[in-house]
Amino acid sequence: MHEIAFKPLLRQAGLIVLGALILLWTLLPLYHMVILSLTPVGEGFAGKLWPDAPTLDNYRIVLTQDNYYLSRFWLQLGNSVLVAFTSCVFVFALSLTASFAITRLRPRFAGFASHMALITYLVPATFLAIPFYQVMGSYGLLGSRWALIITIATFATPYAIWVLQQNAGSVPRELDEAAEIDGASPWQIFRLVYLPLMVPTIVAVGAFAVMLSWNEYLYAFLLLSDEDRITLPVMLGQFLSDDSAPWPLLMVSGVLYSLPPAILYFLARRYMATGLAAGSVKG
Amino acid sequence: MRRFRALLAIAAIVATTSAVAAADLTIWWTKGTNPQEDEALKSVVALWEKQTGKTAEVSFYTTGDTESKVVTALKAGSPPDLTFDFGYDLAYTPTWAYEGLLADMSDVLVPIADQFQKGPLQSAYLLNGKTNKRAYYAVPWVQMTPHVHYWKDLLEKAGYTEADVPKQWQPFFDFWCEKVQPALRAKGDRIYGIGQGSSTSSNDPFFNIHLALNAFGAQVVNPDGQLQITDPEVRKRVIAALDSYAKPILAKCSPPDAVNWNGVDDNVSFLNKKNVVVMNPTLSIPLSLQAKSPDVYRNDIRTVPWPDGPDGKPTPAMISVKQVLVFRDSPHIDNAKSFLKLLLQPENIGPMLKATGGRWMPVMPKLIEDPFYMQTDDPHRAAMVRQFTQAQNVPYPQAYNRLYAKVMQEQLWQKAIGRIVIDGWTTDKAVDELSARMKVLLGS
Amino acid sequence: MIASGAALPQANSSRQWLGSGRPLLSFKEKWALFFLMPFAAMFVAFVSYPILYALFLATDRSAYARVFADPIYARTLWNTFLFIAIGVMLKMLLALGLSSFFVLPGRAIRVIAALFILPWAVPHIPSILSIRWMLNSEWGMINNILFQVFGVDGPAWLTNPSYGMASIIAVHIWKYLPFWTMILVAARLGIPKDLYESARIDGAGSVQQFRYVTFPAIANVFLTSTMLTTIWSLGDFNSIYLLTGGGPMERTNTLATMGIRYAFRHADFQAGIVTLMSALPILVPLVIVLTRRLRRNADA
Repeated sequence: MHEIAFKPLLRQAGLIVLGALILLWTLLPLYHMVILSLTPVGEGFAGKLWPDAPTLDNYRIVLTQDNYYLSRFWLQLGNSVLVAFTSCVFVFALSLTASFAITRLRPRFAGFASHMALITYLVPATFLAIPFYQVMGSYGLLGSRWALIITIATFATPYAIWVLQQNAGSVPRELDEAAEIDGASPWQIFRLVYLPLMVPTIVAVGAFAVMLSWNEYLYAFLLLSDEDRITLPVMLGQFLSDDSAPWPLLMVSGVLYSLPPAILYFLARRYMATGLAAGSVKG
Repeated sequence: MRRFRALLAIAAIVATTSAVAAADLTIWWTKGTNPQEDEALKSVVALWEKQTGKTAEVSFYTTGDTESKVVTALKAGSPPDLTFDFGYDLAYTPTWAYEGLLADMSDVLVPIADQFQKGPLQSAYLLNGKTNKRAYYAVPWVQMTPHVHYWKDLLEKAGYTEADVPKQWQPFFDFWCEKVQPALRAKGDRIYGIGQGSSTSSNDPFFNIHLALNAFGAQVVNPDGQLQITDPEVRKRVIAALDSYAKPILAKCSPPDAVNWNGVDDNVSFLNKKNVVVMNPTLSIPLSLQAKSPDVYRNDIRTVPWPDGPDGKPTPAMISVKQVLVFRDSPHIDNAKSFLKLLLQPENIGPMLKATGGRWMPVMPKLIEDPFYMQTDDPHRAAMVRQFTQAQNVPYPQAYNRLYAKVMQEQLWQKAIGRIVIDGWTTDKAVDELSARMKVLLGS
Repeated sequence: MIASGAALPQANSSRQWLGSGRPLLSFKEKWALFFLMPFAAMFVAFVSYPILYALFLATDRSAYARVFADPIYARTLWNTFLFIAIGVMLKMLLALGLSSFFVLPGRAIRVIAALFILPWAVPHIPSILSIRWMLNSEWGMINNILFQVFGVDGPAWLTNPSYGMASIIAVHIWKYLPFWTMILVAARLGIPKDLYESARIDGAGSVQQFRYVTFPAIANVFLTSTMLTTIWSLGDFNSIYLLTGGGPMERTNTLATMGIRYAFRHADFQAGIVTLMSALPILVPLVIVLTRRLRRNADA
């Protein structure tokens, strides 16, 4: 009897330890980010587990741009939002039209098109940074936020097409055909039948595009120059090579910058889980 | 269809607005260590805008970033109109001038040539390999030489006084490692003696290693431009200099991260009292405390002359002249020139340099004679002026052989130190590798 | 993919839109072309053109000599191998192991799962910079605690080449483990419950259940995931650049950061491309195999 009661208890204890380890591993860097953001600027180097005199003043400084390094915080955050939002619109437009053509109109070249999208999806973006920079230069787009928007759209669209293509299968074709018999043009079918049914998928795809854009550092650094046009990650990256840069304020910006995607993730979690599972790995 | 047309309209807007709202003058400038420096430049820019009615766009980058931004933009054929970074004069300008990538600044400099010190002006008179002629391919605007700083309060905490600090080369460095660091650590402070940077991602070690080479009399390139590193006597001195440079690192007397410090990590580490001594090419370290903690600035940090060389002679100052560049492919060369003419007027550049707190020396005698430099009671600025005026001045090897710029681009010296302190190579073997690569780069 | 229209006769649906005679493109295909135009334009301008440009850059023979003669290159290849062999494999094995934890029922587990995903949801820049600060050997929290508790100088987490690579791998795992764990959890939740039922009736213990039910059911997802993450990890720039910057002395570069460094620090675009192309022998077969797998799975 004892043994039977003991075993689940041991199992329970093991799970608790495992859960605690997972949380420690997962949360330590984030905890560090938060406590550093609460540390008075002069004490950023103390390496304490908990600051002696935690302060919210850093948040006031950042939110009111009351520091030289953060004098464009809202503008640069605005750039991040602008880039994320605009590239999202592009991704929607490009992926919805393309996936409609591939899955509903089924031309002979559908296979080719979806193949190209898939290959683009698989290639790591870093590998294209060098020619991309040159190409943007030849289009006269270097330094413009459009360059970054196009970049995000280029790398997010193939994935979006792929996911949409997967999920379009669940839209019954009978709907198309009924509309067709009623004399609807492909454009009308796209608008009236396809778009409404793709809304849940598009939420996942949009969330993905926004997160991709929100994360982008390499391309943002390479393609943007002017302080008024850079996105927030580029500004944060500059802290790395600035000697009097106040790291606690960097961490405040980091915490603030992390909130939108974290919230977005929890809001769109249900959609994203299905979208991602379907899109990236289908068993 | 309407929506699609809207989409097309958006695309059209993209196409038109994306032809980057072009300013009449694009400036990429390396950020100062304090906001006043950047403001000082901006005020000259504002003056230029007011006088000409044109618009200028200034972007500030941190030092490594300016370099890589410009290097790539140049490659892509879209350089800015005007740019400044610490690294240009020694790592890039000679090569770029030779390849014909820089714009001729003679009409800016020749009319005011008599306002400059000879040396700095000469350093901008460079050979263009395309035309095989020399011209002013850069605009000299400030000069610098590495300084030595230490925390006086830490020295005293360790139980020593300023008078205890040795004046000779090796005893000076050993003092911090063998006396001061152990004394501080005995008190429970996790502090290192010397911030001996050796990273390839910073130019500072390049300057400091060359000072050491010079102190040991190791002339790697002779004034005729010939590589001397294989000469047995020079090689012996190079090895001695590198041994001396690597010693604190091997003795764990330098913060372990110093092997990977970027251009400002050395400042950060010293300012946060993680090491007692640091060598730095401008006065940026004390100056970053000037406004915030004037008392610390004046009383706790010391700027001292370099210790005498092993031969007992004073170590020469190594001067490098910082340059503003305009490129052949810059879209608005004329605007850049007009801006530079304005900037170089003593009534503009004088106050601008003062606004930096005297971080570096001017290149115009008229400005140097200003009491701000010559009769200052500021301990750090006074030390800098002494270095420039009292020590013998020596240029970097780039002055004798433009190809030496590549040695700096590839940071061969730091790599050699890396071989010794990371890979555990003998100095002999590290110098073998270094010499072989140098021969390739200098084509000799 | 149940309601796929593939079974419907093609002629039936296209009758109305089919023009007279046999034009090059059917009515529907013309519309398809119209709908594909935006994507095609983007593909040509921003995918094909850059790729062709890269291939053009790679025709510079002297670039190969420059890259191969660089003593850092061999080290970079080795680092890339370590990053993939240890980083990716460890990550996927951990993901597989942790998926067993996260499929368990219970409120606490769901809360942990929600928090566990955070490293993936939080942007790279602030989180990796936070870790960089935390691991700083002089003023970081970790070494400071080591000094205070044990009185020792902790290791140079980021500036010793070996510790540096280990830290990079740890950060990569920290960042991407949650995503792949969740993918595997999703796959495991899709396994019909009755399979476990019958296994239990046959007397299978939990290890045997995993061996004979779980793993065969998710093997396909696991393999595809591993291949996908191998490709993407080859392109992981942030975990390295933001943590060690490739230092000290360029000892912790992988092909991705080395290529970018050549191109954007040394202005040697050709050498940058050549460096990145060293990954093609792994990349190309993986992309081909994966394209096939994913399409086959999608069609199935």
